[in-house]
Amino acid sequence: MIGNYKHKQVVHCNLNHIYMAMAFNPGAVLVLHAPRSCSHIPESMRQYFKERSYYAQEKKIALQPNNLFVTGISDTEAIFGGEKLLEACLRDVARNQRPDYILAVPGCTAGVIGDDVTAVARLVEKETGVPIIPVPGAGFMNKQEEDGLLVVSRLLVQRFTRCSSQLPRKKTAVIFGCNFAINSNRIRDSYQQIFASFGYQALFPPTGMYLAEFTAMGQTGIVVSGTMNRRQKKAYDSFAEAFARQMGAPYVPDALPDTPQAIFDWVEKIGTVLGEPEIASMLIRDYKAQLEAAADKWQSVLGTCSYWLSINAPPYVYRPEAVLEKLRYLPLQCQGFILLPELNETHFAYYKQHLKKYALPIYTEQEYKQRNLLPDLVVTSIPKSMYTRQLCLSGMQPGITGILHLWEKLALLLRDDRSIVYEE
Amino acid sequence: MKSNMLEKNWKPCQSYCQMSGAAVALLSIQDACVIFNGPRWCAVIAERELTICKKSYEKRLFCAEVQETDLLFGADARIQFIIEQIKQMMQPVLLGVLTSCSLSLIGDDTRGIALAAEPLCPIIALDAGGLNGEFCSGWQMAMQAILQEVKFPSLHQRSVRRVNLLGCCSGYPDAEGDVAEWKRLLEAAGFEVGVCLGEDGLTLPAIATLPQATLNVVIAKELAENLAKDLQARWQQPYIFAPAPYGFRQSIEWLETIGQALNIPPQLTVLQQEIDVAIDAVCEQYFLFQKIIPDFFLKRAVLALPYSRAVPLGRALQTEVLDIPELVYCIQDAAFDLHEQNIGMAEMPPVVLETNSYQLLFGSRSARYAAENWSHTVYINGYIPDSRIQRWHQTYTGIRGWQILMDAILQQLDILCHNNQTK
Repeated sequence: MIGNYKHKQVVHCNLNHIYMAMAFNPGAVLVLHAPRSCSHIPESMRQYFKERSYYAQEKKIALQPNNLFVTGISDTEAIFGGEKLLEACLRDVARNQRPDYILAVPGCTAGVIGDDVTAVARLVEKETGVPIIPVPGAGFMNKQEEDGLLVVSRLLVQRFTRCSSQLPRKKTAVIFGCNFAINSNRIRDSYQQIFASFGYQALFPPTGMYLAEFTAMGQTGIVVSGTMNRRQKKAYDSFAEAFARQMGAPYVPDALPDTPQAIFDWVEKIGTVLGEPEIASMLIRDYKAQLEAAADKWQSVLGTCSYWLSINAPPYVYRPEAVLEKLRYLPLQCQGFILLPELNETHFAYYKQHLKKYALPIYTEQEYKQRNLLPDLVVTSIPKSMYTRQLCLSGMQPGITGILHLWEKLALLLRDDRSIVYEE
Repeated sequence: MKSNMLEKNWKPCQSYCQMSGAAVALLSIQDACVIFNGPRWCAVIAERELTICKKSYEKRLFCAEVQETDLLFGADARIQFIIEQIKQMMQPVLLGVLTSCSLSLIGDDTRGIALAAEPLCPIIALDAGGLNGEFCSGWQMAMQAILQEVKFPSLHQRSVRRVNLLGCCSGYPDAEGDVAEWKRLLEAAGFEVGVCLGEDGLTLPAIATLPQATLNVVIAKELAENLAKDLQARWQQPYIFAPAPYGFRQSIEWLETIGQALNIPPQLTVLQQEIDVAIDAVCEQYFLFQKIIPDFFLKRAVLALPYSRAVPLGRALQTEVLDIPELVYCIQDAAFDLHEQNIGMAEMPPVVLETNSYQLLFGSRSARYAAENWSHTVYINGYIPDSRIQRWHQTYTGIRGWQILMDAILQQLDILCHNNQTK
């Protein structure tokens, strides 16, 4: 009921994203200044990461052990203050773990009782020599919503990156907003492949990085604002642009796109910025050839198939026009849209207005059911038992590999006459 | 601070928040609703956890959507607004308002605020934000509050054979199957089962029959010991701690213990016949398995469970069929001092498992990751459900449960051994 309840202002707990930001970073430790119960939030994230690492064989850098601690504020600290407790915890962790740095994160309770986390961090850092960085984590005490990964990026860069436009450039590409914790391997691989074609190594701060890599980021060759979440884009753009300016590095404000023409344009832009237009042209030619070959390959399976697009994801993480464009390339025709009840009123109204331009029917789930339609297939962002044949998308599919993967899954669904196929 | 304090003091919580525990207790009552008086994000996390425990609870959960300004001006308008909405959507028999840790610090009179919204049902308002406990303490606190709201008859007839079971948490894995098996055993032994407090779907009138029992059986000390003490003080209703029985022998002992407390010997003939058949089947199956796998060895069992589950299960694993040499107790969400129980709250020590040597692990997914050695570990989810899918009739307790458990262990071992041999 809470999940589906008419959305009001979303109040975020930052703990998960802050933990995501450092969970794969060797030498990093998180100390949570909160009741012990709150720590089960990042702890369950840790299990998820561990499971993902186990199955996906994350080879570059594994999830780091023993990097999550909690002070365990109780009612005593709520009355008398929790600074002594935080001090003891930080000191203990700093001395015993000897981490490269500690992120000290106060939760809501510490925020309400007004513990001075910065002062305690400074004191223990001076005593132990371990850098301690306070990170705002107190969910609803934050005046504005800010992505925990971005906050950690900003604080780590401020603290560790040697910023100078005088230093020689290195062949590294820093991509903010696309990272180890949230995005799939395929997206990161796409970035890595593209930049490798230009002789660059891609970094995805703040996740999966050694302290030395943060330091070396000051000599980066190119900065990309790579978030695909449009709600966070402005904040990431502003941070990435400022970072690039400070480093004297070229800056690209767009993430790797998810439609063919936009990908070609993006690669061309990267080539221009890096002064390698010929490599970019070669890459684009290669991409076009790959797309044409795949479209030819699947033509016999897909035939004159048409589909309905079913939407439950909010518009800041989902672009129906991108799905339409990718499938039009094959070419598959969209017959209409189904707006699912998981959408809140605002998002429902947005899609209803936004999709009018296609002059196709737009139904609610109930309206769709009432019509007893039997389409060839439904492309959906959530599986639904009412669809007889469905391709379930897991998000956006940026890069050429994303598009090829989507087509392949679609062809699999039709070729093997399956009722459901998951894109991921 | 000494170095060995590091892990003990600062390690993260493996359980759920006190608020989730309180919510599970309240939502086990049929048609009760719960409002989380706190930020939305806290509520969403608790909802996600409760949905894994019991999908049907999702529809009766609400959130007051507290914002930062409410810290200064109070959250009364938000609580009253959500109560109005609940009144329009459903007719709850009981409404719980659970205040999160940060909100509890501003000291709103939550009960008074909720009553002012005229909710048309009893109100239970609790500070359940995890400042002084985890899941179990929240569950117990809420259940005590529920008993305060029940209208018990002033006169009650006690039945000499009747027992209540206290501490049947509907948020544990296999809760339905467990309760069904305990009821089956008790009834087969000639006892009458009264209220299983915490069983999903109980009504307030059903709880009002609590005093009709001659004895309260505390199934889970960490959930229900204080409840039992309250009931003893209130109606001079005695209680015993008889944790969930694992294994054939323990099931009989469990019934004998209850019979002793009631001063009525249990009727065990039928159950003993059932055991005689089952024990042969289990032993033969295990014997055959051992015979097939050369040098097969069950090295240890790790019990990352609440106290009242870990101890009886550990005893059964050492004495019935499997004969496991080493037990490692990693007691979860203790809610009381474990030193008095002469049992450690150990970290999971690393273990080296040779080709045909295996370990059993009972606990949650979290413990599974801590244990590692996946290719040599039989994992049984016994605490904090892993899956949203309900296993309606499954239990590992009692006579039937022990057979199901042995079968589950052997099936997993069969696959693990096969995979390890073919590597």
